[in-house]
Amino acid sequence: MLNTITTATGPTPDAGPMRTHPARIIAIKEEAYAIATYEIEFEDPALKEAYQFKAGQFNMLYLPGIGEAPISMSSDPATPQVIGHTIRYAGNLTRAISRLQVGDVIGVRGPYGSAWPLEQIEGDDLCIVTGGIGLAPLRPVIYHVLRHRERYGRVFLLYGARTPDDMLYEDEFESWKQQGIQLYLTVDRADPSWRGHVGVVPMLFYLLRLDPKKTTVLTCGPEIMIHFVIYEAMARRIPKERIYVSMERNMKCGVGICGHCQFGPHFVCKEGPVFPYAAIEPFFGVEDF
Amino acid sequence: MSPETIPKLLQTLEFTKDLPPEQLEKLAELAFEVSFPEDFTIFRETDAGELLYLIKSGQIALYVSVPGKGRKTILTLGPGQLLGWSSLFPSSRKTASARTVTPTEAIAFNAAQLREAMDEDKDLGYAILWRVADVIASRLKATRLQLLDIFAPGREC
Repeated sequence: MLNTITTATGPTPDAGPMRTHPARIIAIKEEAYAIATYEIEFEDPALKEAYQFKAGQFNMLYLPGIGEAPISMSSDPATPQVIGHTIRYAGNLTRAISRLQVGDVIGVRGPYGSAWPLEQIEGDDLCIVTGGIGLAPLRPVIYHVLRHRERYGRVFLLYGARTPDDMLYEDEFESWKQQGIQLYLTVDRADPSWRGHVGVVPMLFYLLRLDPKKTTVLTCGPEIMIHFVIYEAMARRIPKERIYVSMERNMKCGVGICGHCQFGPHFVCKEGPVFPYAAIEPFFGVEDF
Repeated sequence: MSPETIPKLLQTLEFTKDLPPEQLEKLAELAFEVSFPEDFTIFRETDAGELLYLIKSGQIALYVSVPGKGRKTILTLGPGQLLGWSSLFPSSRKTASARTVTPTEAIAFNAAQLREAMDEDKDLGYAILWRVADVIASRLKATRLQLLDIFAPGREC
């Protein structure tokens, strides 16, 4: 069944779930204003060799004296020795990370959380709908699909950003298109020099001719955007069992102990962040929930 | 495009595809083909609306001119979508300008003739107004989301 939750693979080997491991920054790439991708690798060669993650999972990144934050992996799960995290500088920890340089060391524990159900949805058409930095947890999906292109049908990527300058991974778009991803970009605001679409990303559904019986929707972004994506998908008769969302909540421990990220009966850090929409529908959109 | 092909085209466009054949036929009698080159202004803000369009191909930007800030594109429209719905309401003026982003083909209707046909055939009038209301509701929804500026940087960790 599609509406099962793909559970976490657990923390790093030979460690308690709360133990942090040193990892060195080996590259930093500016993606957009106040957003950069950090490539890191574990200092411990055995851990570096053993570490694996699935598309959609996250690590807890730690800086001593400042704190921890959950950050999704944005790199290719097939090459887990180098782990990519795309980070927006928006809080104490991420601003402190912005001051780090190549060669600096941060603490990492993970991977945590559920993954996009890439094996379950083999054979389907995929409709990936995302906005802003929500593309980061879906980039591993794109890498996986491109690596196993024959296992999937048509693949649509609808991506929205605030302005053209806020688009992530622009230098990869052409390659994705050449490998069979049907890419549709839109921005919320633009001057006349922008030749692409303008309008919120759920509005792009009108461009697609989807087969509701074989299309799976994967979506990540601000929760209000996800609401509209679900509305548009269901208006096209895509069953809720075929819609997967990645939720953001205030995750602290990463292992379902502290309760900060509780969402109805679910712990987002442990059972999520990726949920089948059918599993969380009763709690989705409930005010103050 | 020959007149014979307009009914077939209307059967394929999202806005009209579910209409019964007799209504499609009436619409086809009123419709005519238009095409615009790239960067062509179809109408301007405050213009009185005489025509409305169903886009067959291409892309159109709706923009408003903001004093001191220049042109701001608020929405783009593409194949199957309705352009210039306000023309249906006789006293209204355009609230945005429309400019082609790419060469565009469309089916055009004279708004006064369409209103007359909708008055004569109430079933057709109901069907058209229902669809126009759906378009307006959809754009209102999208505008609300746009106003929320959901991708603006927020307070995070």
